[in-house]
Amino acid sequence: MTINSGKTNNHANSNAMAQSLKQTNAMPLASGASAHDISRTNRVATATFALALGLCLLSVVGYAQATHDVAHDARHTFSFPCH
Amino acid sequence: MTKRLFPAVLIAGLAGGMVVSILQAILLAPLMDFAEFLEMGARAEDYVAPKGIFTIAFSNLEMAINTFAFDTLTALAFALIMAAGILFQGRAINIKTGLMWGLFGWFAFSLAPALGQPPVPPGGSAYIDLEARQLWWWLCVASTSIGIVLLVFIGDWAGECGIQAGIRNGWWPKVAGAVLVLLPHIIGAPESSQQALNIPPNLSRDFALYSLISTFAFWQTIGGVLGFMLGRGDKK
Repeated sequence: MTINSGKTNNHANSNAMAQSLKQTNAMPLASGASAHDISRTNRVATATFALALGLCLLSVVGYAQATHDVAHDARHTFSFPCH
Repeated sequence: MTKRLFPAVLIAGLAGGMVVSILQAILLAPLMDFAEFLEMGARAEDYVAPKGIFTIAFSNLEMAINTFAFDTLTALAFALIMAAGILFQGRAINIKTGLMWGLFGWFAFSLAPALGQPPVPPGGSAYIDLEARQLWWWLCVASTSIGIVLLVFIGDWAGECGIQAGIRNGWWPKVAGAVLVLLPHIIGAPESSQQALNIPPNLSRDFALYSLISTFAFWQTIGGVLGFMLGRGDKK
């Protein structure tokens, strides 16, 4: 979205997108709307990065043997299989 | 939305970490203390509960700090995963839809695994088939999450992937989603050895219940905060 021309336009775009989504219950991306495509690529890339980072962090805090003793009570609270 | 993502994740993680740490100190720390007392082979009648709601949680300051730190790191991890889901979906969000995300997060990451492997206090399942139980946890979480996507969000994501309306509105995504949600429970979680140890059933039951209450409040917090923070700019 940051690649778009202006901030206000960004919000207007995303609102319009949300509106059209509500009406059609689908993703009617116009083939000519390159700004949408760029913002979609940016969005999917950021989401993929956030997901990968979240899963790595979850493995370390929830499952790594090295952090078992310090993370012990937190693991029991979140019911990760701990021992 | 992408620009606001990481500040929102940070605030949601801190808020979620704080909420779960407070609930843990009040509800779960006394049960863990009792379970660890029994784990050493002592008799339940000999246990004297300390007075004051935060006494046990703060009896060891180093452990209290570690627990808060790791609660917060876990919260950050879950906030990142939830934010990724919200972003993949690509719809406008607000507090109300954020709380819905919190409900799905709790269902996939707390309730569904707990149905197969109830949350246990220390000493409840000692070192038997740990790897199998961890593998089942990941399987359950992944299968339930993909199942929820097929049941609830297929209209958003299938459109993005260019899947035709005829397929995404048909019956098979719903059936596949339901099968994936049920699959980990059909396979069944590996047995743990709770009965073999010295933990009374009412202690296990209370621990499982309080853990699910704490994680419910936790997921609602990160869902609500992410919904508010990510949706804020969209209203203007």
